[in-house]
Amino acid sequence: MREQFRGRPLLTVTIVCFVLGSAVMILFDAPLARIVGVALLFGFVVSGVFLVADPAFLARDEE
Amino acid sequence: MPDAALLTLAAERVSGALGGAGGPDAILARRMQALSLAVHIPIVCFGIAFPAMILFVEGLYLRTGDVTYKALAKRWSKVAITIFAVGVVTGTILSFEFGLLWPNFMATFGEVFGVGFGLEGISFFIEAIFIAVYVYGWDRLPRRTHFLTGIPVVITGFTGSFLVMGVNAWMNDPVGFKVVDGKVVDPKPWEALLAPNLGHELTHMYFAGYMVAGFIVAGVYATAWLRGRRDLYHRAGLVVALSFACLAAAPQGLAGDWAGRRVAVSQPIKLAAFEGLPRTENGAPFTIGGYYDASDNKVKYGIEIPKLLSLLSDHNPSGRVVGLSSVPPGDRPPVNVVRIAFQTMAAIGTALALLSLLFVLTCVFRRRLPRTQWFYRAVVVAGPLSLVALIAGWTATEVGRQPWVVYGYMRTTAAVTRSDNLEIGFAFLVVVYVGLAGAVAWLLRRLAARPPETEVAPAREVAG
Amino acid sequence: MAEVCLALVVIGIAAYAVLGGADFGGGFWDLSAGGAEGGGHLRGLVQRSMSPVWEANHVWLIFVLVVVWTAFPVAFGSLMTTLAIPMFLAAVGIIFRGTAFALRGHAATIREARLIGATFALSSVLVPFCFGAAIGGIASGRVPVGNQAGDTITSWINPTSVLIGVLAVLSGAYLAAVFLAGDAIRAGQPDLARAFRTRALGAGVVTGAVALGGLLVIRSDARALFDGLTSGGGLVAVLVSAVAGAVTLGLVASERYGPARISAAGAVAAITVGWVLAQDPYVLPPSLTLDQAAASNTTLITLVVALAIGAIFLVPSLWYLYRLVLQGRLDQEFEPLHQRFQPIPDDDAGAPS
Repeated sequence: MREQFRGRPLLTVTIVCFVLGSAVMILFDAPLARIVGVALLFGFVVSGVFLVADPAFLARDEE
Repeated sequence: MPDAALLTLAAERVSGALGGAGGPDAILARRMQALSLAVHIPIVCFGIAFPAMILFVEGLYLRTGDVTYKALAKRWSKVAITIFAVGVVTGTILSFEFGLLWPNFMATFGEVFGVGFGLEGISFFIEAIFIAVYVYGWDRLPRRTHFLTGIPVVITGFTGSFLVMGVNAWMNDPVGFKVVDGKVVDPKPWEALLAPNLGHELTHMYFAGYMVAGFIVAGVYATAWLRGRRDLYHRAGLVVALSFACLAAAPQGLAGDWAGRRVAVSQPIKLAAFEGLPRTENGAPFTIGGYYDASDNKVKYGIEIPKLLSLLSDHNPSGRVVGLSSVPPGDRPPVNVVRIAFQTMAAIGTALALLSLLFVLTCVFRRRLPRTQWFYRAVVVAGPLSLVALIAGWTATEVGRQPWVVYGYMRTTAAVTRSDNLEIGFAFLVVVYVGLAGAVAWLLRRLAARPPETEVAPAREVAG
Repeated sequence: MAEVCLALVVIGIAAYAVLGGADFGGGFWDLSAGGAEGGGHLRGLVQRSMSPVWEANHVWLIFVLVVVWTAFPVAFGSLMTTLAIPMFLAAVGIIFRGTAFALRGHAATIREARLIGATFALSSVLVPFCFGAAIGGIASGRVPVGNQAGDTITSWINPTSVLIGVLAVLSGAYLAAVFLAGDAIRAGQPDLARAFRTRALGAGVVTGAVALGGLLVIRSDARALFDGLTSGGGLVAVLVSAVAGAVTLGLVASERYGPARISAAGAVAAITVGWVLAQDPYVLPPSLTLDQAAASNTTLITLVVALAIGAIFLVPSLWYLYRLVLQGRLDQEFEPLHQRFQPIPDDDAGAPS
């Protein structure tokens, strides 16, 4: 529970970047839209990596 | 961008700067070039993505203090510099081949696109410098300094791709020059470098780099995982690599959609070849599989999904898609190669996106790794598969550009060297690359066999 | 503007001749390093010196190629087709060399090691020879304008080409010996320094002799080139090179390796400049002048501006790297390498681990 709480802002950022980025890429074609869309998707990847590969998760000992 | 009918007109007007027609071995030259590119491009993927991955792991070390992460980052550094060294070699070969195989292309258009390569050379030079400092500077530079020296490597990985993709984008939609009396004049290199296609080509390639490098590295650790090696070292290797690869998959799909829409406008015949669409129509279908019969100008035995091609290329199910018959047969690319390559890439890309979705959702919402063995087996296969998709995609776009080397302006056959002995060169090159691949695989295996503890030998670490 | 771009090409070629040449020369000495004990120390030093700067040295080659094909595209197309064979061989040599260098420490048997070592050494000789021969072909007027318009064999197998090819190999070996002697001092290996000192002196004398004798060869084979080298700017460069070479010998003999590096590099750089001045005003003698070969002004200016901007980032980076290297901050452990290019264990001298 506490882990999930710590990751909340990062999760939000990740999801927002993905949703907005996808929307912009699919709906628009203008150069500015493309730049914004790619930047958002890039933000999605970066925040997503920090979200998934966080030290607590990596240090977890499973089975 | 001239429409299909004007394409032929423009082409007849450019005469190569070296004079005379091209040589007899154009197909062989294309194969040689394709081979060299196919060898080089996976290395480029590592150049794009690996430094960021390594820096992330070093960041984990700096954040947590756990030397396991340091060992992982150091191991990856050694692999990176080996790959980089091979990349220097294969890249040099490519540079030579541009001149050896396509002298008329270089002589006629060199002044238009050459500046991009000049800048790429500088970017690459800086990359070589900082990767050397980074790899040889472990435990010899203060910790924070060492981390910082990795950042230029990430940046130059991007700028290098930017510049080379710029040239390729230009080849597919040429701008920045005029043709007067058959001669290329008034070159505008800046315009050529920022060609219209650059945006989607660069984006698509950049995300591809993360997928290829990420899945290949993840595959190594997935193999270890299946063999029961699940300590922090292997888990971190697996999760970090997979994170990068899986998160890049969805954006890659969106970039592909972008690319498809642009190609429909700037290279309609290439898009027609992706599908094998015989005639221009509204509401064009997407035919999965099957075989294109050139004599009949028709795809046979495929599964036709109505309206899908229009939807993909125009976001409009009744959109107009140009067909192959709008240009004479001599101006069409080899359709079957292009079709199959394109569909292979798209199919693998979709499969990888699904795998990625499984991984990301499980990690984020179930807070654990997937439990099924099949997931890890899929990851092992994902590396080679993403490589296949990479080559297939490049094949689709490069062969799809034929018969042009500069789309609409110069045919590949006009650009080629007059040399008649390319068979010897080709055979030689095949032998060399096979030997090189074998040697590198062998070397990387030897490296991998060393236990991680050797990376963290009692070395004096500089405080800082 | 065309002159500026030509100057950039010359700088690139000179840098490659010095740095890449020294690199290749290292491979040359590797070949002649000899048996396990003494040879091991030599090999170890070559490995240690080459590792950090290897890729950075060879990027100059790509730099030269790219500037030539952007600024002088017709010349580029012409020379790459007529000189296709030496260029292709050099490219292949570069592949072999890079691979062999990376693989060196991982051979499992002596035979494997010898094979890799031989590949490494052979390609270290092949590549400079091919490039030297190509330069000889251009300089002696054997590369006309056009798509393989010259003879693909005699354009690089002819007295001038062979001479310059041999000189390229020798000067590389000479440079390497001088550089490695200095490196040996830094690694705390004075015996090794003396070994390289002897080699440097020997190589220096041979190189000088071949260069001087070579002038006669050029005189009979390519009169125009000879005239270019013995008058005006060409003569000045030749004299500077000769003096720098002699000074280097003196510095090496008196074991002052730091300054010797500089004068050795200067000698090689000077003769490269001399070649270009000797060809003036031609890029491809006797038919293609600099003005004819040059791309349009827009391109030349764009190229120079782009490279200048790039240099703002590159020069400090390069300085940073060389500073770290020369301070010894990136030095790897010095370990003698036996014939399998693996460290010789302390107790078991000479036996493979």
